[in-house]
Amino acid sequence: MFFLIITLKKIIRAAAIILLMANICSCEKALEIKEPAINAAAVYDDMWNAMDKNYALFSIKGINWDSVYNKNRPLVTADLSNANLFKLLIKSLEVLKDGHITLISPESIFTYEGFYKSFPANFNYANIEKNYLKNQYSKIGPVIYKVVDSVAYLYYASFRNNITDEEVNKLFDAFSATKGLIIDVRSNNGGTLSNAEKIFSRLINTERLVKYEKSKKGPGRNDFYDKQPYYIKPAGNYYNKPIVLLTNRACFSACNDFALYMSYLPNVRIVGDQTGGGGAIPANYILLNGWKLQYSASITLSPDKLPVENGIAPDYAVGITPIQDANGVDPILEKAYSLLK
Amino acid sequence: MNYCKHKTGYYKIRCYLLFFFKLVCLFLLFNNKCFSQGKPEKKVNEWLLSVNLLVNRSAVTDKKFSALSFSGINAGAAIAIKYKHGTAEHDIAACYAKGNLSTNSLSKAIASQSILDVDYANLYPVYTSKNNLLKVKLGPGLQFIHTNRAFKEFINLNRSFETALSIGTVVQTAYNFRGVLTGFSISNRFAVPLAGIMSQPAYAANVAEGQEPNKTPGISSFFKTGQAVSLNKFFAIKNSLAIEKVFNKKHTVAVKYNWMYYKINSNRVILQANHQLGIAYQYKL
Repeated sequence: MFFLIITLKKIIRAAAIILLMANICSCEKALEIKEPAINAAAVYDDMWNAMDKNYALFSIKGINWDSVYNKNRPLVTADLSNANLFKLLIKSLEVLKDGHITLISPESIFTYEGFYKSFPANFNYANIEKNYLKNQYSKIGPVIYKVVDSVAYLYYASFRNNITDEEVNKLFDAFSATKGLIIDVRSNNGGTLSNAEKIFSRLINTERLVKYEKSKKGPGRNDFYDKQPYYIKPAGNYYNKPIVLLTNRACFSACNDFALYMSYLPNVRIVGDQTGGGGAIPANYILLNGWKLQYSASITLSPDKLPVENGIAPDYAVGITPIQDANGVDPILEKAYSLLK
Repeated sequence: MNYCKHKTGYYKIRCYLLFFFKLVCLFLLFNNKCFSQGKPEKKVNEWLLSVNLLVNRSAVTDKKFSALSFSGINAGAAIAIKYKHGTAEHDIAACYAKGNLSTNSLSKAIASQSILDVDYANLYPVYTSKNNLLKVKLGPGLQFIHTNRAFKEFINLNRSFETALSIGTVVQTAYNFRGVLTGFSISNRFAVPLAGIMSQPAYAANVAEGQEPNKTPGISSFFKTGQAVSLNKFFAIKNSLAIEKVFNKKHTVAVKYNWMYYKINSNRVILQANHQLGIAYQYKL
């Protein structure tokens, strides 16, 4: 018994010393966070998995992401160059036809542009400035405007350019005596949604449900939270006159949301071409080789709970032919003026 | 030593340093074995306050943003209060470090991370050597971790965090040197949690479910959004090694090396390792 107690004490002492020493060295080796293997196959799998877990629009777009993998993954070879890997990733991503998809490497940038490049531009600002604004207009913040015959024309080139509440106040003060307003957001490729909402908040007199948003709640392709309603409150002086919104296929993302909001106002008519879509919130992911991937991370639905990824249809579909464009004519803008006369 | 040759850069330097540190520790233990003269332990009732300035190296993989790990060295500070009551010991320590983390694969990708770690341990002696030099203490512990990350090059879903409160076990081994090294001691504390509460952002969000969307994730919302987790979902271990020199009854200076590792197995996998090297000053109140 005495021998057993002595032995036990020795074991405890030895264990204590071993624990002390083991903690100094070996745990570090065992618990080190290791850089994953980086090769063409690993990068492709990383992209595919990141999209598989995070991309929100597979069901909306009706894309079988597994078949994309089965078709393209066998093309990844051990000696695949970075340039060819980039092309292969693009080939896999562009089937989604999503303008929020962007892939950036140190050498190249890919952004899906098919949502507007496959369609007529239906917009030529140079013609508007020369022939309709007569090179005389006012500018407040990021927008330009002109009032002719009590009809105001407002051009917001990009919601990436921020507008302040004070600037919006000044703008609508200038429109107070007008009988109608044309808001031109053609080729506005989106940006910060709050800029669009600052304009929209002057066009409503009660809080309005403008859309629903569905966010992912897990890595499964159909792991979504229930749709959440999104409201906008009125602000400043209410502009209650007839409004015409001019759109084209390059009206994307925040611009698409703006067109969606406007399409539900009773005093608004949309003229031009369908918008480009892109209602989702974009998010980013860094691939194993450092390339940056942007993807759509949510679903936006209209107040009628319909997806808006394919854009908002105009009330009056009007286009600009090449001849009209060459002659400096903008039938879309002219249609807007005719509606407000 | 051979395995260090296969490492590169920072890991190679760290490997060699750890090897030599191990040799130094063996020497100290050998020295103590030769010259040790133990005295019986006195029962005490005292308060000790210590402050610690440290250098923290963090490495984190947050699969919300990338499967790549981000790492960086930053500065931090810690404060600790120890209450010795008889042979029992109550320790509470808080450590905070903040800095930028980067990845070699993309120079512009910077993650700003802050980490707050608060530990409590209640230790009781379970083994004391005859000469009173080697002591092993064991007891329950609490660990609170709050980590915030913001990826500067990202927009929208650019933030991540995890907050965890766990209860677990702490074991401390301490050895007092004698002979030419009288006044020096080495101690090691190892903590492992058993269960806890954890909060992290909802899947495609910057904040936890139920938290206000535009509010910075904070400690206040933790109890509202936290979920019970066990070892398989939240695994965290922490080790603190200290070499102390007692200058007199009031003042002690220590060199400390801590490492803390945790892994979160949720929808968003997080791997985090922190290595901290610091100098601590302890004052007996």
